[in-house]
Amino acid sequence: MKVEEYIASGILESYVLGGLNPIEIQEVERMIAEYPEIKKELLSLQGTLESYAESFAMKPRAELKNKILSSIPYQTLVVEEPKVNRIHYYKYATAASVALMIICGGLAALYWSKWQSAEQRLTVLEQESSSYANQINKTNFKIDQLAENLSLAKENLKLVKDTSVVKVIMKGVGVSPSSLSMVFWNKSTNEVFIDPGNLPEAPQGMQYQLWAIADGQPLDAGVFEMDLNQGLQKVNSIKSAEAYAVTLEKIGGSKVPTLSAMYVFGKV
Amino acid sequence: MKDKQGFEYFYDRYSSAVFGIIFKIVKIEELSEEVLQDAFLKFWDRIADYNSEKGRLFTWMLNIARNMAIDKVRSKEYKGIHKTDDISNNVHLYDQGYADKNSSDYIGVKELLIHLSEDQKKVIDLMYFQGYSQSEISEEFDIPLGTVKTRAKAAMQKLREIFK
Repeated sequence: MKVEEYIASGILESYVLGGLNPIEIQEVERMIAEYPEIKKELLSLQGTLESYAESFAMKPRAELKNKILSSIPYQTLVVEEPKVNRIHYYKYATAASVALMIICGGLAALYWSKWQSAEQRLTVLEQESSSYANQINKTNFKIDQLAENLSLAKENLKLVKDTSVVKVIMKGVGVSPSSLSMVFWNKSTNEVFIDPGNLPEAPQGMQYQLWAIADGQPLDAGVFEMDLNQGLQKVNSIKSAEAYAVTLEKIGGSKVPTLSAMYVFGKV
Repeated sequence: MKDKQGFEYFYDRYSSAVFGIIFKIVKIEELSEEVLQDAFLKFWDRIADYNSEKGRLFTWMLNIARNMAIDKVRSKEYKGIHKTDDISNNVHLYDQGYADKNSSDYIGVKELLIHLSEDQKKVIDLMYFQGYSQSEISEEFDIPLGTVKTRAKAAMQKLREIFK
């Protein structure tokens, strides 16, 4: 909140009149300590209210003065000088004030320097902790990735070890003789997984599609991505197949394979 | 202030103002004198707690005296006396006897205070002399809290003009 807004809100007026609850009082005192302009306004309001209060001034009965002054427990003072005249009193008072000012100034300087070095240390610590936090984040991310890879590898291993899973190696043909891909086909569940192997990156707007060939007829086994991180990709289930082949098709796949764009082929 | 002569000077300087505010609240001579004595004892005890960061010394004293006076008014002792109904005599006596004489411009101030509206006077009276909080005033007199705040602000601004 802006200082001017705070002053205009009227909360200081209620504060000097004693109309605030303890929580509000704390808040006002915090603002006073923080903003010299607010404190200045407060002192001015207090001055006004002092004048108002003084307009009710009434001299108490003269007898009261002695009664009250003699009820004060002066003995709590360590040193009591019986005959201090006014001049001495002011001298001492002045000397005491000067001493107090020097002490206060010294303390203020001391606390200020302590505060400064504490502030600096805090900044350094904050920087350190934020760099640690960064490293921890990075490490956590790596751990997540590794965990993902591990679970993927476990899945793949399960597949490879399964005796009902048939491994079909598809070798490069015409377009890309050096390519090699693999299909893992579970004959009992009909599930098919493809390992794209080293197929070249598919051109823009194109995608690889797997085909199963049964009784000389190609069956769509689904399109797949070249993302190596994905490892084995599950494609469409196939009941029976003599061979598998991969062709390059438009995104989303085709109904019939483009034979001129066959990349790999392998017999079961 | 923390020696005998210092405190005597302090008493001479402030006792009338402090007694004035106490009497304004308590309205009974005897009890006001009790509160005055307790208040000066408290000044002596607590002067080390006075924090100039939070405001002026005289304000600090007035607030202590004011709170003690309000506590007195709320005490059983006070309510007992109130019932005997001799309060009006006391008030009368004191009003005639002491008031005004110590503050040369009191009459002038009294006239100036005419410039405060009844609502503004009331809000000062309730908060400052009767110890009501903003929200208590709002609830007890069925005035929206915002209105109470506005009146308190306006009243203080008026006083500021008067005592400029």
